[in-house]
Amino acid sequence: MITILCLEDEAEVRDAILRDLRPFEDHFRIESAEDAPDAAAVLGDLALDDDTLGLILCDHRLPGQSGVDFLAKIHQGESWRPAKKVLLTGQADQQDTIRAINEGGLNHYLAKPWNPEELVTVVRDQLTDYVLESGIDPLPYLAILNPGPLLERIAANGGSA
Amino acid sequence: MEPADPSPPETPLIEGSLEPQLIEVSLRLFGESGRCRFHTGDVLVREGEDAGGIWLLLEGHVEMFRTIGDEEIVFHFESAGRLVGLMALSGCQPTFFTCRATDEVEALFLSHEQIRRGLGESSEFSSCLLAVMVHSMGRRNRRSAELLVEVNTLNQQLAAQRDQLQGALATLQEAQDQIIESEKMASLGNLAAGMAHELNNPVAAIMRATEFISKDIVTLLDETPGLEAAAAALPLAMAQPPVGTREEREAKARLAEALDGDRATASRLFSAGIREAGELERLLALRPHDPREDTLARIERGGLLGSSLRNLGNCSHRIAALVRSLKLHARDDAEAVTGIDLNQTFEDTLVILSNKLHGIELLKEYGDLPPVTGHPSRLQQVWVNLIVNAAQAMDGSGRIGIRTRLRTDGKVEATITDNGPGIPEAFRDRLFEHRFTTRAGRVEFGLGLGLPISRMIIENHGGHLSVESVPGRTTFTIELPTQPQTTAHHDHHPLP
Repeated sequence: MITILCLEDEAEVRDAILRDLRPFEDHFRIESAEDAPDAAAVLGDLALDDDTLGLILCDHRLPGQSGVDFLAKIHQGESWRPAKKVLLTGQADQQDTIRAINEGGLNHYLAKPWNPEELVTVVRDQLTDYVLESGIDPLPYLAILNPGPLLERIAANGGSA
Repeated sequence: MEPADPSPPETPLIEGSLEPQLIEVSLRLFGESGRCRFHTGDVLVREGEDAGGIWLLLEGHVEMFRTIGDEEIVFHFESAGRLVGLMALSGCQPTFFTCRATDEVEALFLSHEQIRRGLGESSEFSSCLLAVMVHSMGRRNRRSAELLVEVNTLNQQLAAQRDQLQGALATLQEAQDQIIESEKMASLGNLAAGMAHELNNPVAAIMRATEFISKDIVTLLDETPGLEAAAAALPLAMAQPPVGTREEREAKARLAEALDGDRATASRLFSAGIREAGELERLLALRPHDPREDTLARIERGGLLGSSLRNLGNCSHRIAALVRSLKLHARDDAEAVTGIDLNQTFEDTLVILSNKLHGIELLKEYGDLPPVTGHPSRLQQVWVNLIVNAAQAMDGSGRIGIRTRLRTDGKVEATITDNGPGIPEAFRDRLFEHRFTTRAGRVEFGLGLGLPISRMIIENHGGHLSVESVPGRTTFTIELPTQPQTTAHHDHHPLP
């Protein structure tokens, strides 16, 4: 299963993000972590379950390692590199953001407080890209992701994914 | 450049040198025709012109100078000897210096023609002229060496003055920076205090509204037949303590197991505040005859309401705490209270901080303390600052020790110790400065307002806050008097 990982240290904010991600819960595994070591533990679980990581939604300010550092580590490693990376933050300064893009392979930046529709749109767009780039069968995701590009891919594959 | 030494000549006008003899022999050979008188300021020869001969000074004084830029630089006053036009004579060049009388001067002019004749005809003239020339050149040479030394000395003085000026400029700059910085802090303080007052009302209204909504919804659900499970799930979710994501995953896994591996439902129920399968069964049992799916949906809905209300409550309390800490910037007229149990203020603080301290081991050693007098909320503010700082210094995992005791001198002492990396030596002296923060120069308003305010609060209680730090052990020590501090709330200093 493709996983969405939400990395956010404040429980109340995490609850709100997870609630906004509910539209995706039937098609994706949704996990959350409060700090970088816990996020690493989640990744360990994913590996055990043979699940993939499709998207990381990451706060910039975390206890210990910063969100940008974590994204950079993911981006520079092999295993989870294809995952889409979205920074969701109320605090990042310009330098953090530049680093997130250059070293963390950041795909999108969302400012707190976030607009829920925008959050859902960004997650949908990013996961659509992920499915297309990873060569995963797009058919199961037609209902939840962007159907246009997915249908094109199915057509290009000769009708069968 | 200063003029050459204007002090009277060390040697008499005509000494035992050959100058008088040269004058005498010249007068003898060429007569009085070349004798001229000059008044003060008259020019004998002018720089760059061909003098056509030399002047022998019989009486009075001259100065020799060159015009450089707009300035006349005097090279010789007494140092040139009594021969004028010497350099031009020796080099067959245009006159090097302008020579001007500084008092009444009597001089004898010898043309090149006369000199040539004298050199040819009189051995006395030759030897005298030669000796006087050598003598004069020697004096001039010495003078130029002195000038060099003078230039060097002046350069050194200039350099020293320049350094002084630079130092003064740097000091001024620093003073100006400090003024700007303290102005900034003052306006930041005013801004913070203003913000705190502005935020106070809305946050109070949010806190009240959250409670009203909770009560009204519970009442509404209780009174609506068929929604008993939702009505029970709501307060359950509201009361759930926050858990870390690791425990959350474990709880979800246990729930999923109880739900025959239905991870999605387990996850949804967890979000709705259901932590254990037993809780779920109890709620389901409230509507034994309804379809299970319907009751599950209602439990989830009720639980989500409860979770959201809990979050609303938690967050508005956090904002209220932040507002309270910001208000410390402004004058606070609250009266000091007596009979404070210091240990209890620590306990209260730890309750507020509970969700900031997971991963941290707390060691508490409370001594038997007499009551103290002061402002419990401000003391708590200090504890919040010190404990949160300690937790941050340890990156969220480590040990914090809180100890209180009554000292033999009658004072109450509290220590907060962490086993973090310690405060770098370079920062230790500046920890209590108002503008100091180790986080990239930013002034940060976290849950508290930092160490300067902590120290201020403790000092306003008549106490003392100090720190000792080595890698692996940082201890903040607070000592407070046990006698009533009646002045505690009067000398509350505003921030600079």
